[in-house]
Amino acid sequence: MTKAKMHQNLLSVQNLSVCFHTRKNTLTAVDDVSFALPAGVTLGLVGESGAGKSTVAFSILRLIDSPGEIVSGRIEFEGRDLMALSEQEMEGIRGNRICMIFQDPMVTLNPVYRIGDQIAEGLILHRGSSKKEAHERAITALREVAMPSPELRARAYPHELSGGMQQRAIIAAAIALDPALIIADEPTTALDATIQAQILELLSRLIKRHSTSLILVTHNLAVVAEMADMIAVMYAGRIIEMGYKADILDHPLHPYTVGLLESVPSMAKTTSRIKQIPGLMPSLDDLPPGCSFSPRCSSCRTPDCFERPPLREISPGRWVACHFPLT
Amino acid sequence: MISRLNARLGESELWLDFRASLSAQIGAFIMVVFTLGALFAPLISPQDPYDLTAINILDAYQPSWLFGEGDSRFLLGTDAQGRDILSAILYGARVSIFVGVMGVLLAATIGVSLGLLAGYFGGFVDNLIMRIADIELSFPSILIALFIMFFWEPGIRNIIVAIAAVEWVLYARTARASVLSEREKDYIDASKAIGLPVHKILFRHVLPNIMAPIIVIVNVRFAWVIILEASLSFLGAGVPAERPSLGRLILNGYEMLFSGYWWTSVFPGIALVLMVFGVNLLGDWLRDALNPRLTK
Repeated sequence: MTKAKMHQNLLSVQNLSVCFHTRKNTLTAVDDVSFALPAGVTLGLVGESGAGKSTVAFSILRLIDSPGEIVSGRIEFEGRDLMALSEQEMEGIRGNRICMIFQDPMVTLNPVYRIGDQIAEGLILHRGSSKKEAHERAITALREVAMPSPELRARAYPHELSGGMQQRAIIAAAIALDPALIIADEPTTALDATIQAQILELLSRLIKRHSTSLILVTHNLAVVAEMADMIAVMYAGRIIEMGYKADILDHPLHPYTVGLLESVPSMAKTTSRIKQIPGLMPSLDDLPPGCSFSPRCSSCRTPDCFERPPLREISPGRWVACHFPLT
Repeated sequence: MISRLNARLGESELWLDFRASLSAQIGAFIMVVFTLGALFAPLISPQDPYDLTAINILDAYQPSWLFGEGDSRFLLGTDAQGRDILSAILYGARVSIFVGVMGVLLAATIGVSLGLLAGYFGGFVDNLIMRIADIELSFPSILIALFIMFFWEPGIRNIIVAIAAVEWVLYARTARASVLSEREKDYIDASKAIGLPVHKILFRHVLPNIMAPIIVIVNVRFAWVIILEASLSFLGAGVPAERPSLGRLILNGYEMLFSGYWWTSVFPGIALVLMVFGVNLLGDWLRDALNPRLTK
């Protein structure tokens, strides 16, 4: 791959807003989110529960169900505007060019079908493979995710596998079609800590080998530190800081990112107490005016913060949405 | 082949459960006897009740030979036309079982499909389908079936449609309720995320996961459908007179019940009761066996 091509964006999301219409009012779960993902790069989408990171992930596949609605935005993938595609064209992209890995492997696999058949399903659907070909490819894919005795496991039902093996099977289903982008929504949250490391290691090895891009949605900073090339931090439906991993982890600019990093327990430091960010993320129907983080922010200086800070690029590839970024 | 089948059966939880349940085995036995009797009626029945040349009016109202009187040709006696009751029961069971099976299958197909749509899409589709179901449920089902049969002449096909028009409601409600809980599970999202079109998600992924309660209802309602058909036929609104079902046979003999010709009505009645009893035994067992919350 040439250098020029490397820097061409595989995916670019511009001004994406997603609303959920409730009986009382309309909540903006994702508010004017923009980011770009070069090919072969892993983006870690970090934030607390309810920050809108999963909604962003589902929006890329246009899988927002009523009462949710993508109200505005442009999602460009491999040079095509996904928002302009018909539902049928979109079905041709889902599972084919973009695959998704879900949080809980236990409920992601259909309990009544064998593992091999579930991996083969996408191949039959998108590649028009025969049942036999698809099955052989499924077994190769299982071998690739280091599933022990793949021929045997292909004939097993989901409940006969452990959580880690189920997640391996799901990853096998995702890579079997060799997609350009994998979206992993909290892929290790439901697994044991030891299995988590194995699955992450496997995932990063596979996306390197296939030079697949990855959007990793997680609340776990340790996972992001391990896996991501770029990090986007979300808070109350907006991206508040974005940049290369090393920059963000070593020199966070937004007070919220600082708070997040400080709240991670560390073995190296010998502080007696873990710092925490005071307060809770505000509810979406009760956002403060201006900067949504202002009520919890230590460097909040009213009245400036009554105005919403735009996400601005303060140095190349380094974005922050704060009136008073730390330096 | 057979040993492999045996090995698979031996492992199966359901088979072990069946082996342990006496009532299920009795039910299964009754059903097997009736099914075989109905299936092979032309081979085993002493007389062809549909063949007018085989019936002699002089044999009318022969009492049951089993009870010590009458002709040894007529084990359970004869009716007003001289038809052998045993043969009529075998042929009648054929009609009853056929109507029962087809009625249940048609009702289940319609009901489950509509329930799937209602549960999966929700909103207007859901409201439309379920309100029709609610309206139907507020009438006694026999009344609706009678109403439908009022416009149609008696006939096996018509009664199957009438039964399905009444019975689909239960399947629709059950399917909808199960879909509502299944559609929230991630494997549905996952199948959307691999780009499966809606009809494949519904029939390949949702349907197999809601089958357990449907199978139970099919079994439990099968008995009810046989009774419904018998009731309609008894009221003269069911099967045509020349192809009597069990209900129609009871009607035929019922007028003569108090003239001492009890066998014309009672034997078909006993057959009906036995059959429904057998189906119910099986259905009850299956309901418990497929219920994951009842583990012994």
